[in-house]
Amino acid sequence: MTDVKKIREIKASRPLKLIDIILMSLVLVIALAWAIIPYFSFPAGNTVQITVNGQTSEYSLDSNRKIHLDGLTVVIENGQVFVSETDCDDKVCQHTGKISKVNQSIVCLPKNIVIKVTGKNDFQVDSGGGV
Amino acid sequence: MSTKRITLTALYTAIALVLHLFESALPPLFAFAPGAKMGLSNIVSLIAVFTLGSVDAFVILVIRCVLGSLFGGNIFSLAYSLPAGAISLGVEIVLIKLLVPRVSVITVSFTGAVIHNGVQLLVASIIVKTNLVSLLPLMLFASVVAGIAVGLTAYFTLKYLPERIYLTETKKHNDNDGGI
Repeated sequence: MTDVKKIREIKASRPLKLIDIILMSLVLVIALAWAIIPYFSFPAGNTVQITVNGQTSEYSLDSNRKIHLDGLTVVIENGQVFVSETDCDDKVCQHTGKISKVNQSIVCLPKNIVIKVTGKNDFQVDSGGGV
Repeated sequence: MSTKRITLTALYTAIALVLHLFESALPPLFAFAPGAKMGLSNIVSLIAVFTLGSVDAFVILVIRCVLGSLFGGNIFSLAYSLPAGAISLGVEIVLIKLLVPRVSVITVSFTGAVIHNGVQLLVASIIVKTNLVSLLPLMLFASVVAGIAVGLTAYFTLKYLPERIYLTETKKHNDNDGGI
């Protein structure tokens, strides 16, 4: 099932064609719009929801504090929330950085922890869970 | 199934596994997209589709995912790697059969990366019971970078890999090669 014909066609073709550039630019533009629009239109949040293994607790974004959970240090500071330290390997949650807008979230998959900013009158997208 | 074919499948699986493990040992490549990876072992999948065929590519993928999650020390990571890998490989195969060479290998690998990230976000959303789709645009940016890198590597490998490495059928007019 070796597709020699196709391999030879690829050998004869250029690595990148015009249609590829058009397709990828199109996706890039969509991604850019998708990433930027919420950033400007979503209001700053005022509450942080921290979900550990399905159990949610809420904290206000207005008061500065540090929360320690399961090797994770969550810092709330000047209306922003971020993970300052973690003992997991990938440090994905730490690299996510500071979040402050409604519906932004920091996720730690290995520890099953989700940190999410919400607002008073937030227009929640239908979130998959709460089970 | 010829001996050459079995050997090649094993060889590809080994290469894919090494790339998979090597990649998981690297620090995050895209600081802006948490958890996004290059998907280096997709290079092997793509080359396998061309040189061995779709079925073998799937076999290589499944073995690589199972062994990769075992060697990586976390069998649960299989829930992330296998469904995403299988669905994106399926889409890539369809694209290769229908559109290549009208579109390049880069577009195929890019599409695969997008699908891979999408499925992985979906699985993650189900596991942590939170909607993570807001991360998708960041994943799309990562997919462009990953798609170009992986697609370009696959393209040049296909271009310069000597055909005798994967050609199994011997030339009909040449009796010397014999074979069974």
